[in-house]
Parts: sequence; C-alpha cells; structure tokens
Amino acid sequence: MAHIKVIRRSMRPEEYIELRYGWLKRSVYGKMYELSPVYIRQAHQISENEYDYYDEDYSLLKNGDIYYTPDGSAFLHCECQLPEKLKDESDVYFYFKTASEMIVKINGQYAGGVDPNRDRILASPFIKGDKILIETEGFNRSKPDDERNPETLARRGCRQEFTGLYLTTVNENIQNLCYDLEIFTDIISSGQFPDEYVNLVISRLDKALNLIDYDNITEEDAKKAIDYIEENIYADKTYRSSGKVALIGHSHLDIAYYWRRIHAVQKNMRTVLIQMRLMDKYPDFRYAHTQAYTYETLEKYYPEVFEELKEKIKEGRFEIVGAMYVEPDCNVPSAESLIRQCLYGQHYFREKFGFTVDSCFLPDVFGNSWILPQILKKSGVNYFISNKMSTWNDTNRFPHNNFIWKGADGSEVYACVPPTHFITWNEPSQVIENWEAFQDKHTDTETLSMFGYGDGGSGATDEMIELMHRFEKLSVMPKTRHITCKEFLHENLNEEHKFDVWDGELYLEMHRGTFTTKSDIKRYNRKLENKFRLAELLSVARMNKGVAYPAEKIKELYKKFLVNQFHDILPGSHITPVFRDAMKDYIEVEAELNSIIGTGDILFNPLNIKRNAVEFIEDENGIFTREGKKGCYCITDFSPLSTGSVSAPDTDTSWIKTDGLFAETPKYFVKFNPDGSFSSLYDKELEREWVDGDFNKLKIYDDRPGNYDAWDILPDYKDKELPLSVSSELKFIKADGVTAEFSVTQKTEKSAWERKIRFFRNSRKIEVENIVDWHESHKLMKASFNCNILSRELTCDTSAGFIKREMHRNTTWQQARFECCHHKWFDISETDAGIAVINDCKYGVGVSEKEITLSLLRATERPDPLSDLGQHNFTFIILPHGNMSYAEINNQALFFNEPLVKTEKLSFPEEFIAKEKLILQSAKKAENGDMTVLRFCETKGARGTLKFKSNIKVLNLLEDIEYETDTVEYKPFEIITIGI
Amino acid sequence: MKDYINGTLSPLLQGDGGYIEYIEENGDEIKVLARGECSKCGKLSLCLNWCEERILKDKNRRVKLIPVRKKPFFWDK
Repeated sequence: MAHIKVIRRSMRPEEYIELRYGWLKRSVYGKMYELSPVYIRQAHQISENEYDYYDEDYSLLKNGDIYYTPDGSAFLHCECQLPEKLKDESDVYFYFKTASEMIVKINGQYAGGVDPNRDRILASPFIKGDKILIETEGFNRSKPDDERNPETLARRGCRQEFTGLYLTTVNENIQNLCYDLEIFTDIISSGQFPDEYVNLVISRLDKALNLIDYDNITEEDAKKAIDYIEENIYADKTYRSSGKVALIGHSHLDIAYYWRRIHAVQKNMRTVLIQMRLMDKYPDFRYAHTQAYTYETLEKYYPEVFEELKEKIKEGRFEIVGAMYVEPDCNVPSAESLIRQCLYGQHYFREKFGFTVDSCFLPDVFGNSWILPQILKKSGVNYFISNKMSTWNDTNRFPHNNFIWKGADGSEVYACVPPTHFITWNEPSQVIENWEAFQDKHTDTETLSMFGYGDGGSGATDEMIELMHRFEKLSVMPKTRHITCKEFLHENLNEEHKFDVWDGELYLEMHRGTFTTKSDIKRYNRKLENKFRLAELLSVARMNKGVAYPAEKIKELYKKFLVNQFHDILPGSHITPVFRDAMKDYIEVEAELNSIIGTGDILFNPLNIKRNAVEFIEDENGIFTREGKKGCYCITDFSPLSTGSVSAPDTDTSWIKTDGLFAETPKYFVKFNPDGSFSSLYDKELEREWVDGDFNKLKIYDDRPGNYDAWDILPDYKDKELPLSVSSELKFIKADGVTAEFSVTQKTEKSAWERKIRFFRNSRKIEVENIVDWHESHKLMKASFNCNILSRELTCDTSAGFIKREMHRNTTWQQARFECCHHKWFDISETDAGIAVINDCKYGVGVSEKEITLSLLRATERPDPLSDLGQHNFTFIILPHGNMSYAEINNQALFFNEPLVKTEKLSFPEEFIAKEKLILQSAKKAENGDMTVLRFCETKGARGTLKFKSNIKVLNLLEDIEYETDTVEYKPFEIITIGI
Repeated sequence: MKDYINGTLSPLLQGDGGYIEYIEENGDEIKVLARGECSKCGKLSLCLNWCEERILKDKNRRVKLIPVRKKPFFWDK
C-alpha cells in the first residue's frame, strides 16, 4: 500500500497565533506624527571625529528619498513644533525605522540610539516647551550576515530609503501583550519545551487572542487578553523545570571588523548610551562592558556621556568587565603583549574609576594560549570568561563550562566558558538551551547566559528586559537571576564548589586560518613586539646616563599597537580598510620606535644571553642580499647585553662542494630536487639521515573553507593539492667563507615564489628566504617537512616557554588539532636529536603523524578580496640538531628574532642579566616612574633560584610591590617581575 | 577613469565589505566587476547611481556603470 503523506494545508493554531501576533505588532504605536522639515548632511568619516562632508550645508530630505553613501555617515537635523495632541501625553516617543546606526540628540541632549534592532527612543524626558529639535549622527553599517531581523536585513546596503522621523505614543497594553506573545510563540516554536506544555499554551493563548477584535484593536481588549494569559498560563504551575541561569547583559563590540576602528567610537557611544537609557527605564537592569580602549574613546570624544557613565558605574549598574586594553587575539600576541594588554587596561581603570577589574572577559576570541592563566593571575585577575570553545568547536564538545583553568606554570584561574553564544536576545528557548547544555551541573553552580545584540555593539533592548521580567512567572523555565557579571563570578566560582581542572591551552577547533591570514600584519606584530623591547631596554640604559625616559611616548605607541591586536585585526578577519589602517599604524609606530632606539657605531647584543652564532650583518659591501638588505653572514661572539666581536667572512669557498643537485658542506651531504626540496639531508656529524619524504617542499592547496573564509582552514585541505611548476631549477649562486647560497623559483599561473637556500660552514642551520609575488585566490601555501624522526610530540614555542602537542591522531581531540599556533619555533625530536624550524613572522603549523608544515601564505576573499595579495619577503630557518635543549633552541630563535643592533656604548647592571638563567623579557621604567622594572621568563621548564646582591622588589604584572627580598625562587615557565 | 574607479570609488565600497573594479568602457558605458558584498547586494544599482553622480561631479563625465557580479559569493547558490 502506497504511503501518502498527509500535509495539513489549512492554518494550524500556532500559525494563527503568529498571524495575530503580527497584527498586534502593527498596533503597538498610536498615531504617528511625521516631523518636518528634515535636513541632511552627508559625509565620509576620515578619523575618530572628523568628516569629509559631501555638501557645503544641510539640504532637505523628504520621505522616500534615498540617502547614505558608500562608507558614509549622515547627519540629520529637524526642528519643529511639538504636535498639539502630544503635549499632554506623558510618554512621547521618537520613532525612526532605519538599517543604519544613529546617535540621537533631542533638544541638545543625548537621548539614545536607533539601529536595526530598535526604532524608538523615549523622548519625553528631553522635551521642554513646544519645540523639538532632533539631531542625529548616523553611520550606515552593520555586519551583513547574521542579524535576527530579516526586515532590516533586506534594507542593508550602502544606500537607504528615508522613511521619515516621527513622534508617537505607545499603546502600553498592546505592547505588553506583544511581549507576552514573544515569550509564548518562542515556547511554542522552539522545540525546547515539553509537548504537553506547548499544547496547553497554544490552547489557552488562542482563547486569550480571541478576546480581541482585529478590525479595531483596542487597549481595552489587549488588557483582557493580558489578564487571561496571567490567570491561565502564567499562573499554571503544572509543568516545572530545574536549573539556575544567571542572565548578564552584554554587547560584544568588535573594534574593527566590517567597519574601521574610527567607526567603533560611535558604535561604542551608541551602545553605552542605549544601555544607560535602559537603566533609566528599568532600575534593575545591569550591563557589562569591556575594553579600556572603548572607555578612553568615550571619555575623549563624548565627555558629557562619559560623566554620566561614571555615575552609572558608581551605582554598580553599568559594570566594567575585562581587564585588558582591548579584547585581543590570544594566540598570536607574545606574553609581553598580553601583559601590556592587562597593564594598560588595569591602569586606566584604576586611574579613572579607582578599582582593579578582576575578570578577563573575551567572549569572541579564537582560542586562548596556555600562558594566559599566569598573566591574568599576576595582573589582578581571578576569573576568565570566553564563549567560543563551547559554541564554535567543529569536532569536540568542550567538556566544561564552569571550571578551573591551569596554566603552563601551574597558575590557576576560575574559568567560565558559557554553554551558549555571547549574542542572544533572551528568548526563553535560549535560556533553557543554556541550562540544558551546561555540563557542570554537579558543581551546584549557576550557568551564565549573556544577552544583547553584539559584534557591532547595540546591546540589550526593552524587549529582552521585559521578557526577563516575565521569566519568574514561568514555572517551565529554569530559575533565572539578572545580576552583574561580578556577582555571578564571586557567588559561583569560589571555594565552596568543587570544579574540574582543565590543564592546557584552550584550543578553538575552528578559525585555524587566523594564524596565517594577513601575513603582513603578523610580521609587523612580531617585529614591533621586539622593537618595543629594544626601545625600552635602551631607554632604561640611557636613563642611567641622564637621558629622559620617553615614558608617555612609549605608552602612547604601545596603546596604538595593542589596539591592532584586537581579535578581528591581528587574526586577519576584516575588510580592506581595516588592513590599511593597521599598516599605517604599524609604519608610524615603527618610525617612532626607530627614533627612540637611535643608532650608533657599536654593535650591541640586546639579549641577556651569550651570543655565539652565524648571523646576518648588514653591510653595503656585503655579497648577500637578505630581505632587501645587503650584508654578509658573520660569526658573532657577544656577551649578554654587551658589545662583542664579529668575524667577517673570508673568501675561501673550498668548504662547499656542489655538483648539480648535490652539495656537501662541513655539516651535511645534501641531495636536492629541482624544486629546492631535499631528497636527502645526511648529517655528517650525527651520522644520520634527516629526510623521510617531502622536505622543505612548497605545497599549495585549494583553500575554500566557505563563509568563514579568512578564519578557517578545513580539516581536509590536503585533499586538493595543486600543481606548482619550477620556472628556475635549483642552482648554486654564490659563496664566501661562511655562507653558500642556492636559488630556485617556482610558479603557478599567477604567482612566482623564489627561494634562496643558504648553508653555513660553521652552523647546522639552513636558512630559507622566500621572495614571493602572490596573486592567488583561495590558496594556502605551506612548507612541508617529513623528518626521519620518530616522535609523537610536536614542541612549540609559546613565547613564554613551550607546549607539547601530540602528533598522532588517536582521538578526535588530536584529529581536530591539525593546525596550531606557535611562536618563534617548533621542534620534533628523538631523545638525542631533532629538527627545529625557526621563524620571525609565522604562526600556523600543520600537525600530523609524519608531516609537519609551516603555513606561509593564504589568499582569502571574505571579508577582504585583496587579502595577502602582492609582494612578500620572509625567512625561516631549518635547524637539525643533536642533543639540544628547548631553551637552547629558544636562544637560537631569539638570535634570529632580535638581531644585533647598532647603538652607542651602554652598560647594564648585573641584575639585568640574571646570570643568564632566565630570559630578560622586558626592561622598562615603572609606570609610576619610581623604579626600573625587569621582567624575566623561564623558558627551560626548570626550577631555580635568582640571588641578588641586595634586596629587590618583587612585583606583580601591574607593577604593584608584593614584597622585598634578595632571593627569588622560580618555577618552570614562570614570569618574574622585579623592581630595582 | 580606471584610476578614479579603482582608487577613489572602490575604497569607499570596500568600507562596506564591497569591491568594484574597472573592467572596460564602451562609449559612456563602463563595466565594473562587483566583488565581495557588492556581488550580492540588492542595493547595488542605487549605489552605482551614486557613483555615477560622483563621476559626473569629479570627472565631468556622464556615464552608465554596468556591474558584472562575480559569483558565487560564499553562500550564494
């Protein structure tokens, strides 16, 4: 018998409820009084508070006109009489339907904001007398993809149709009935609630809505329906839920993403203003806001709103969360950068508001380095919050929500990875979904659910708060509390509860391409991290010679640099103008740092470790050109933080023997392939072969991860490797007494990739310089290394020690971790030998059982069609080694990253050197000017003691004095800060 | 015209995640490649009208911009 599927084509009861809900929404507003005349002035924003205006003056804007321009701002102005019939109304609203983002002033006062998520502002408190003056400052931007409201989504675009400014009233009963209906239509349609309860709601809601005459919707009928719902649905406690959920108001604000940093000033202002106006209306409303930078911009560009904000903060209603200066990427920045994020963030909060923030609030970052717990703990932060791992992992469910996160050095912070997204609109289904997804119910703690629109700011709405106020009447909901983030953290994450411990990095199983996308940004980030260190170190030494320390200048430069570590800037997930802004900032910061660093006649070792290596020394007469600079490779011999000797190479080239694709050096027998990869690298000293498969081979892959183009690399990216032809076969170019250089060029249809491969007479390292003309689309280029090494672990530099990651694919956890972030080096080793690869600007490393790959370049198109296109020039080092500690590998990487510099004669006290036991990560003048701050990092994974001649001050990372001593005991990977 | 479209107008559209690029001109008709958000934007014709006004104002030429949308753009089928 054939099965015939029966489809009910007539309207189901729940559909009829939805239909009537739509009719009611249209009756929320009373009569609309259009305001006129409206004048407009359009502009292009060119800095935080500067505009290029398209017109000399304002011009008339009529209902139905097209307004806004590409990348445009619009200023509206309307002054008119208050409509007679509204004069006696207690609550008059300003109404403006727009897909743009508008800051609204009424009669000269900041009244609120309208945007795709809200279309009205309570105007009455700002109306005095008969006249009304509306001034709006608008920005036509919202991220194009995932907003809730399809109506405004359809309105998106560089140009908009103006539909008029209005004053109106709200029919409170109809509005309240709509809030009830929002709750119950969500309960009916979400599938999150028991069928029996849903049926009860449908049946009783239908009866309530039957009390209304839809040909003439009145407040009186709406009240009858509200009363019916109150008595027959809210009052029915037959169905009960368990659970307890803390509801935290928040708006995620990307400082740059589909908009530039300059636009975030207004986005932030609008967001803050809207939340403060909600607090005026709803006394119980609390809201959490991050990033010291956003508070700074508000203070600078909107001082009167900042003053109002200070009051709200004092009252405990507007809450500062997140100790950091911005919400940075937490993979690529070095330990010192993350420390500065905390230092400058916390010092700003202390200076302006008088307290230290005890949370790190990073809802959207793409994974978190293992070095963070220590940095947070020593920066006054006990709590860490980040959402991504629970909602975005593509393979494994992160097993905890409320837990303890243990860092590489053993430091522990309380951590919360909320079970659901950081952008929700507080629907009942979202709250119950949060509770059901909560995996630490056994801890008897609340789970955290954030509500508020975000990414481009905006935050909570009236509706979200109204829904929340109804939750306690719903027995079918978990118990909810609307509290501050601090209350949630302190009342739940404490010693009264027993939590599981996560000991390791918080790896995000997604967005693995962000270690590589926008290589120029990554390159500048590393380069400037090192230049900041150098500038501060030299300035401290000069301070001892009476030269003023440029404290304010360094702080200003650091802040400009730290903003560019924001988690949609440094990872590369942004539009073209954001990239241009970042590069402009980097160029300016570098120029200023160069002027602080200065120059001189003496070569100086800026590291507190002995330096004996083969290094490139710039020299106009040198026979080699490396990254555009002429010079030669010399044997250097330098004491820590001191001058030393450089042995110039002689012209004896007898040490290198080449014959076609074969070469012999004092260290190796090398067999090349024509494409520059090695078919054999035999180590003469260690008597072993290093190569087992493709080695130093360029591989280009089709790289189409879908919508998250700039963000993701797919697990199966290796399935489609593309041809890479050889346009100029590997050949010997030249040599001197130290260096032998080979060259090879490969190409695709659109790109050329030259490699200079250099071997050294006195060093095991092999240098590979890449000179690239890159014009690809959706491609990923990697350098592949198949080593003749039996190892199950890949060891990666974290910038403050190292982390070991399994190379096997035994479980889904290893399988998902196929692309990781590393810093200066990675290494695979057997007991007595291994190979390290050292870089000065790359972060992505591909991990598999056999093949390790260094990710070199991508060519993504969304959000930036020009991403990574153009010229690139970078170098990495292959370092086969014998029994070498990770600390020694790290030292080699430091030599490569922090070259010798030319300066005047300088001297440093012996405290700076710390007997070479620890790496001097930073030397600077204290922010309060009282002392010199030295920061050391343990990189060996060893315990030890530092003994000083006299007492020094032990500091936390905020430069607070903790105690004085002449002996400091340190543990593996510990960061020690002292004041002298 | 090529420099003006690629160097002056396109950066404005890039500010919205869009991108246009001069392809060729035939009399007063100029073909532009629309990429990124422009490739799927429902308001593109309005936006190009504005670009035409800018060209008239800045380059004193009355032109018609003909978009060639580069598809697919991610979720576009």
